Order: sequence, then C-alpha cells, then structure tokens
Amino acid sequence: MSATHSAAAEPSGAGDDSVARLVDVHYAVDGKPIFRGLDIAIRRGEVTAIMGPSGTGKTTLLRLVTGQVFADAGQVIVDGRDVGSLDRRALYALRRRMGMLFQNGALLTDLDVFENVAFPLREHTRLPEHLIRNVVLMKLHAVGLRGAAELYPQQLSGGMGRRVALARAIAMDPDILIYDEPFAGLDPISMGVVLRLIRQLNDALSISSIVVTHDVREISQIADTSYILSDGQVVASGKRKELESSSSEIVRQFIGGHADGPVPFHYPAPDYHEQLLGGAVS
Amino acid sequence: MRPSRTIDLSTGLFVLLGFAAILFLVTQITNREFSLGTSGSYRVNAQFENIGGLKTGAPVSMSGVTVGRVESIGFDMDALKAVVTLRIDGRYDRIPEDSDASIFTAGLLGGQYIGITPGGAEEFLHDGSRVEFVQDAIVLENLISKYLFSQADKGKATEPSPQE
Amino acid sequence: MTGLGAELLASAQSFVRTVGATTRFLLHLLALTPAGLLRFRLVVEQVYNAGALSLVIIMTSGLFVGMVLGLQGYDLLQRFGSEDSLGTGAALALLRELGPVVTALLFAGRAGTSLASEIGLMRATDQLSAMEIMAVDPMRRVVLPRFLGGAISVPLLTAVFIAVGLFGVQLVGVQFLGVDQGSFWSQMRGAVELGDVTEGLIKGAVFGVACSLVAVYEGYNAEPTAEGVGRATTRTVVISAVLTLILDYILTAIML
Repeated sequence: MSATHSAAAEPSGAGDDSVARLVDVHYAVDGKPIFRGLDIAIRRGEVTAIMGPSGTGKTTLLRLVTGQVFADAGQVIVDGRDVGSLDRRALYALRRRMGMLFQNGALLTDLDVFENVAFPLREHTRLPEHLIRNVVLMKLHAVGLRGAAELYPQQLSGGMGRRVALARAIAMDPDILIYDEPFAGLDPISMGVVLRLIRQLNDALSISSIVVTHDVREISQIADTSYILSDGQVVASGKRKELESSSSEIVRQFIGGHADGPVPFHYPAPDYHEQLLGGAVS
Repeated sequence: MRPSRTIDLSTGLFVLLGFAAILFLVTQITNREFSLGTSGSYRVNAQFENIGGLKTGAPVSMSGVTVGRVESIGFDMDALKAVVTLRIDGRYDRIPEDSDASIFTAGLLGGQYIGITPGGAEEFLHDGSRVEFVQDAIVLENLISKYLFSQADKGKATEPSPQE
Repeated sequence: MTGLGAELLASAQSFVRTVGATTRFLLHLLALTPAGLLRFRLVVEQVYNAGALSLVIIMTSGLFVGMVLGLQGYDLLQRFGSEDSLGTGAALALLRELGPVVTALLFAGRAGTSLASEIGLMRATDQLSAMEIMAVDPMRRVVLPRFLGGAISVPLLTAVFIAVGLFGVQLVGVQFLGVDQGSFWSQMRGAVELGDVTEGLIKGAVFGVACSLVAVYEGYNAEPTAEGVGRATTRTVVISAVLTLILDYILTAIML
C-alpha cells in the first residue's frame, strides 16, 4: 500500500508544537496487526481529524493516546511524556487533563444530567457545592443544555445526550479533547450543532481536539489537519485541499465515497461461476 | 436532586431490622446460660474410672438445676483415672465438701451430665477442690455382664444336688 | 489425545484459570475495602439496593418456609409423640441450614442478578471506560460499593429470614396445630445454644461474600454486548447457587 505523506504534516522533531505524537507505533491484537508503523502528530490548538474506512482501528488509536492500551513498539507521547512509561498514578494525572466524548455518550444512567456533568468535579476536587453548581451550569450552558439539568440520560435524544457528554468532558477544563465518532447517527441539525461546538470549544478554551470520524464532508469544514488511515498506516495527511488533490487511490476512494476501489466491494469468496455451477457437475 | 433521604431511611430501617432479628435470635431462643461468665465462678475437679459419653460443656446440676458446666476432661497418668474439671457458677459457693458427683444420662438416649448430690460437711468446695465421692458412668456392657454372672450364680445356688 | 479428552482438559484449564482470576479479583476488592468503607454514601446506597429491596422476598419466603417446616415437623414428630420438640427441631434447622442457604439462593436470584446486569450494562455502554478516562477507578466507584453492599446485607437478611421463619413455625405449630406454646419455646431455649446462632450468621456472612463476589465479577467481566450481559446474569445465579451449597458442606463440616 503506497503511503503518501504531505510535507506540511510531517511530525517534527523534539521541542515542536505538538501536544500528542505517535511515533512508529506498532500494535496487534491476538496476532492480528492493527498498526504497523503509525506516525501522527496532533498540533497544539488545532482540530485534528483522524479518518479511514471502518475497521482500521481508529478507536484503538484513541485508546493508545489515553493509555487504556499500550503499544507493542514505538512511542505514544502526550504532553512530552511517553504514555507507555507512566505508572498508574501518573497515568491518572494525565487523564485528568484529557476529556473524551464516547460514541454513544456513555453517560452514567443512574445519575441525572446535572450529576453526570458534576461527576468528575465530585471525584477529583473538593469544591464546595455552590461552586460545583456554578461550574456545571456554565458547562451545560456552553453546550446549550442548561435547561435539561434535571433530566435523566434515558430521557434525552441522541444529540442531546452527546452534548451532555461533551459538557462532562469539558467539566475539568482539559487540555485535550478527544471525540470518538461524534456525528454517528445524528440528524443534520444535531450534526451542525456538534460541529459548531467542536470548533468553538477548541478556540474558546484554547485546547487541542482530536476527532475520529468518517464523516468526511462534515469534519473537513472545521478540521485544521486531517489524517487518513488505512491498513494500519497513515496514507494521507494535511489540510483539506492537499487531501482532495492526493493521487493515492485509497484516499480518492475514501473522500469520493466510491463503492469499489482499493477497499473492495466483494468480501473475498471463491470464484462465483464455480460456486454456482460447480455443484451441478457431479 | 436525588431522593437520597428515602434511601437513607430505608437502609437505616433495614439495618436496624437486621440487628433486631439477630438480637432476637441470640437472646430469645438460646438457653440464657451463656451468661455463665467468669464472674466469680470457680473450678473443682473429680476423678472417674469411666466417664462414659460425658463431653465438655455438659451441664453440672444439683437437684435438677444447672449450677455449672464441664470445662475440660483429661487423663491423669499417675492415678490412671479420668480427670474432669467442673466450672461452678459463683452463686453456688456453699456446696459441702463431701458431696457426691455422679454421671447420669438425660432421658433414655440423651447426653450425659454430672449430678451433684450434697453431703453434710460444714466445709465447702472452693476453687481447686477435689470432689472425693464419685460415681462412674453406667456402661451398658458392664451391666450386661454383671447380669449374666448374677444369673449364673443364681443357677448354681438353685441347682439340685447331684443325684445318688 | 481424543477430542473429548482434549475438550475436558481445556475445560479444566479454563476452570482453574477462572478460579485464579476470581481469587485475584476478591483480593483486590478486599485490599480496597478499608478505603471503600469511607465512601459511606455509596455503600449505603448499595446496601439499600441489595438488602432493603430484598426484604420483601426474604420475609415472604421466610414465613412460608417456616410454615412448611411447622407442618412437616409436626407430622414427623407426632409419630414419635414428641410434638413438643417442634420448636427445637425447627429452630435448629432454620438456624443452621435453611436460613443461610435459602437466603443466599434468594439473594443470588434477586440481588445478584441485579448487580451483575447493572455492572455488565455499564461495561457494554462504555460507562466503565468513560470513568477510566475521567481518571476514576471503576473498581472503587462501581464494583466495590456493590460488593460491600451485598456482603453486609446477606447476614442481616439471614437473621430476618430465620426470625420470620420461626414466627411461621410458631404460627402453624402453636396456633393451627395446637402444640403447647410454653413447651414450644422452652424446649427450644433448652436445646439451642449461642453456637448455633453464630453458626448460622457465620454461614450467612460467608455466603454473602461469595454470592456478591460472583455477581460483581461476572458483571465486570461480561462481554460488552446484550447477549453477554444476559449470559453473565445467568451464570451469576448458577455459580452462586452451586458455590453456596459447596461452601455449606465445608462450613458445616468445619463447625460441627
């Protein structure tokens, strides 16, 4: 598989402006390789999109960044420190500076919206009740759901649930925000809302955002840098214009949404003719 | 924002109910003698040839009233007899020294216990005393063989003198 | 090695591994317990969920078990002319065996499944993962309080079961069948010792730990799918039941 790297997004050396970096990361599950030499740089203050066909391990990449899994080879560097070398305490300290939005929100179902957003504050700080209340209301206001504070997750629509999860993710004012498929299953309006929030929060809170998605059209409206993964490696990276003018076949198939190409339409199967007629010949 | 008050209340009630049940079980259905503490109780011992099925914890009674418990059972290699240590409740501190300790059986098939029949001495048992007069447990085999021998003797006595 | 033999060996291996994993899980929970008890609020909530909410089923079952015991016991003892010993027999049966075992089985069915499915569902909807990302240890926040809630509730439920059961025996024996009230209680008092009560409560405590452990372990390790949670729930009941009965034998042998 040919790998086309755009010069502008090449990971730079030490002392750069990247808040997170994956350097030549290899990772396999049950013998099946998922990443074979992955190089990604997340620039500080930017919205970075990670895209690729289903199954390329985009969620796994996020778990490498948060330290939920560890690379077999290579380095995962977040905020200047190798995640793989951190002990439990340091890892937890690092995670407090990250916020993550899960695919289905992952709100705690036995707590209401207010308590969900307050959860990290209650667990990690000893703020007095009235301060917690203020912070929670501010975060909910930022996502437009201050009025839903007393509802339970079961009562929220998909889009609303995701916004509450976002409010929770920013409750502790993280440095890095990670979004795992934030647009999956949303109607156009909700999608627009989430898009706007991602960009606004990134700029207003001066953070860096990593968005894993395959909604190319949506994310390209707000992403500063994009990476396209395929077969365990980066096949294209850079700004929107660079990707669209890429000569790589897989990139063109992905961006154009073509049904057949380097990612084949047919799942590997024996010869059609033989399988249909082969049985008749005894 | 959470109905925590009801939860606290219900949990509290539940725990109290649980403890009440435990208290009930412990006090109402057990024999109250667990209060036979060490408040002034004293030990005496007695030696037996045969203790039969006597076990530690068996009651020691006088006139049917439990006054103590069998604390331990051992064997004296010098006297070659079983030594039974009895713990008597401190309230019963005027048991005559010459009292008699016997091993009885409760009911037909019940457990064995020690019954103390008071004597007439003016000295009383105190901590460390030895009960001198004892009666062993009745062992069925001995009874049977006694009976058989006594029958055999009777037979000899009533046997007609040999004929001419 | 034949197919069957290889399968058995694999089953045996996986069994041993599960035992090992469960033991490590238990030790981890025990290590976290002192700190966990300080988060009083969470534990109280779980005692409520596991204990208070199980009260109704425990009391109902206790009552009926007691009543059946009264009926059966009376019928049996009456053949030997010892109806007066009904109190003794029933009390001992309830205290030493029926109370702890039936309570544990009911607990596994009602609360154990609830615990397993709750935790399993949290696993399946990424809630546990989300907690980890938020730097909150799900073992401390979710698993431990539930484990403690169960372990604390079961001995209490056992005591309630036995007490209500005795009431049931009394109801049938004395009120319905005419056993003399005085003899009923005095015979019982004469024969039941403190050791019998503690035997029942110790069993209750041990079963409580075992059933709660199985429930939270299965939930925590459930496959993150709908079927996975369902399977975990079923396994909780089955394993809790078998484990309870095995432990019952072991404890009885030790304590007699």
